[in-house]
Amino acid sequence: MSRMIQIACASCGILFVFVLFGGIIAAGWIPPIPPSENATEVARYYATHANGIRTMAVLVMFGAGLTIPFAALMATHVRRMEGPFAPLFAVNLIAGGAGVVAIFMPAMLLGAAAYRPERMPELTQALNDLAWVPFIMNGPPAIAQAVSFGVAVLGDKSDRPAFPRWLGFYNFWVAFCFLPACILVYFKTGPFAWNGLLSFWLAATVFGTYFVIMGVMFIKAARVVESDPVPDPRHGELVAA
Amino acid sequence: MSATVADPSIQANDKIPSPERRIPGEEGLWVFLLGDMAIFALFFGAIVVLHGQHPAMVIASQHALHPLLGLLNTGFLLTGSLFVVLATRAIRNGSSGAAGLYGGAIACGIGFAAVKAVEYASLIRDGHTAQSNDFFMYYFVFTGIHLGHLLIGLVLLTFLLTRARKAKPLTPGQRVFVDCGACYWHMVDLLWLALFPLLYLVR
Repeated sequence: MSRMIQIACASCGILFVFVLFGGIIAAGWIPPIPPSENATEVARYYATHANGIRTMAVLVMFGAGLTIPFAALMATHVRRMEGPFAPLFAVNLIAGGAGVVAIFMPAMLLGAAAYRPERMPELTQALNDLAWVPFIMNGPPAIAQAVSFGVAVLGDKSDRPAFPRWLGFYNFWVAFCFLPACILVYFKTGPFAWNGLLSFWLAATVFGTYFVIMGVMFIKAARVVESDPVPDPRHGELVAA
Repeated sequence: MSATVADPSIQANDKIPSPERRIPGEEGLWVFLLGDMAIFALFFGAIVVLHGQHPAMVIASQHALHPLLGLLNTGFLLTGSLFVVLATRAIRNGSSGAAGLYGGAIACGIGFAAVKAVEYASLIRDGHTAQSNDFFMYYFVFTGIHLGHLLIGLVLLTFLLTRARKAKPLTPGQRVFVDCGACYWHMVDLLWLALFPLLYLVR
């Protein structure tokens, strides 16, 4: 039973990537709408692509929901590796919850922006900014999630670790890749703008592959974890997981 | 950070890693180091593209930089790397000089950061900020990210310095951590060796 639940949670993370990028493609936003466009151009795009953007809002909203089981599985792994006193587990769980909001909130704003595209262009542009700036810039939840998981993997002292140590270092690298996007508010063109090489392409590629790689590693780990006896916090004795 | 010291497989059976091991540190570390260098390769590419697109703007902006301070910083990092090499050898052999050598490397790192702060302050005083043009945007962001790497390296070296002060021999896990810290520091050095000519010298 536990193994099937683990595989289901891990698969949610992989499915999330398809739903997220499916949504972005539905709105025609690979690459994203340039931040340098003026209000009239933005409003015209919303008027001509209203249903695509509404579809993106719905898909990305459900995508955010799919990260819930994925984040819960990751946090449970951190607690298993960390032992009974588990601050890293708390960091990872809080970061996972914040990550859901980081994906959910821009989707809601895009939905509102595409709801009445005939409004004043400046208002549509403001809503568009309000959705894209946090959508791309919001790194800290993912950074905290990746770093806390990475530290837990490298600190895992069990005889038969469920994850290879390179996965810990990989998580540090992923956290580093989310950093350049944090300065996108200063730029409307160039590699740091929200449609730029370092803010969008790097972060999107790394973010997408991260969920797939972690999902696959979680599925692989499911067998190891299921057969592993873990201490039951209620009794302090070994029981099968 | 001390979590990275623990290598359960090695600590379990107190074996010293075999000398024919080819990868310094541990394999997993190189996922991070090579990945990190790949991102910096994107940065280098961005600078080269900017050179090609706006040569006049880049050269005019480069005149405002201080190549001598850049050269001084290159000296700091190369000397720091030498200290780290010697310190790694010393701490492995359990010789008492390791702490001092790590101290030398840390001093070089602090020297680099201080010179960078002077450079930033002088540029900003002259009216050159990240908002001035694309060249200065790249200059501040890329050197800033590099400086962030250096500060993380200083934290690692400080850990190694405190470890080197203890008389106890290294556990195999700590031995791996010593190598990882050294590899990381050399990467910081290597990245600067590419960043410095690309930003300051290539006309």
